[in-house]
This record gives sequence, structure tokens and C-alpha cells, in this order.
Amino acid sequence: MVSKENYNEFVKEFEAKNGADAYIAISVKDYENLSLNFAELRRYIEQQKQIIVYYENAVKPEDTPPKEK
Amino acid sequence: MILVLLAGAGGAFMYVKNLQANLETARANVAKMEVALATSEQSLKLERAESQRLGELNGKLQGDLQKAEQYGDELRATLQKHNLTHLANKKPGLIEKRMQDATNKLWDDLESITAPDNGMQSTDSGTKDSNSN
Repeated sequence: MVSKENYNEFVKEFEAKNGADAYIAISVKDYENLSLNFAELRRYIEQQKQIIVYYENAVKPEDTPPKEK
Repeated sequence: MILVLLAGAGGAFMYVKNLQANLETARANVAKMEVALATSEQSLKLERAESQRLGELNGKLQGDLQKAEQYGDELRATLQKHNLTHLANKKPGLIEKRMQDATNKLWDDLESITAPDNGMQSTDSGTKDSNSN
């Protein structure tokens, strides 16, 4: 997270660590969109898992009930 | 006169014989229908039990599907509640740590929910051939 306050410090640290001053930045709005997209991805995976579990249980053969006398 | 009486008696005998044969047929039909009814009732009972089981499973699925939306809803609420740009300008260190923690947690969660032993199909199934063609 880089703002006006820590920009110079970030540049120094970044150059010391990576040896160059080229980097990829992402705006706050884009970061929010990215996090929301990941949340959607997570929701989709979880829901697909639940649907698979549902169908596995739905087609699972049940124990034969005892015959009535 | 005697002939008329004998003919009447013979007719009556035949009539009773015919009635008895019809009664036997009716009894056999009733027995068959009772068996069919019992089978139908058993089928209906099984169908009702299956319908109830699927209804319960469906209810559980709807609950689970809604629960899966919880994370996104919470995230949307958090992003709406806070002005991230303002917070980032004010406390960049604190926000960076929180974002990093949340990102780490998200990776852990994604790894956890896609793990093969976590309700997913076994990776043993399918072909062993690594060729995708």
C-alpha cells in the first residue's frame, strides 16, 4: 500500500530489493474490483461443490427397508 | 310332469354351477387386485419417502448455496462502509497489513475448498494419460 506519505520510502525499499524502479501498480478501485471478483470465484467454487454433494447424495442408493409382515 | 320337474332341477343345477364358477373367478380377481393394491401402496410409500428425502436435500442445498454468498456479501458491505482510498492515505501501514492478512486468508480458503479430500471427486478417477489430445 503506497500513498504520498510513504512513496519515497517505498521507492527506496523497492529499488534495494529488486534493483529497478519499474513496478506494476493497481488503483484502489481496481483492487476492490479484483477482490470482489475473487469473492465471486470463491462463491462459484463453493456452490459447485455443494451442487456436486447434492447430486451425490440424491443418487446414492438407500438401504432397502425391511419388508412389512 | 316328471320331465318338466327334471328339466327344472337340471336347469337350477347348471345355474348354481355357473354361479359357483363366477364366484371363483371373482375371488381370484379380488386376490390379484389385493396384491396389485399392496404393490401400489408400497410404491407410493417409497415415492413419498424419496420425495421427502429429496426435499430435505434440496432445502440443505439452498441453505449451503446461500451460505456460500456470505463472504461476498460481507466483502461488499466492508468496501461500502469504508473509504479505502482515504484509509490508505491516512494509515497505509495498517491497511497494508490488513489487506495482506485478508489476501493470505483468501488463498488459504481457496486452497482448502479445492483440496481433493474436501468433498471433491477423487483424483484417481479418469485417465492416467497426461496427453491432452
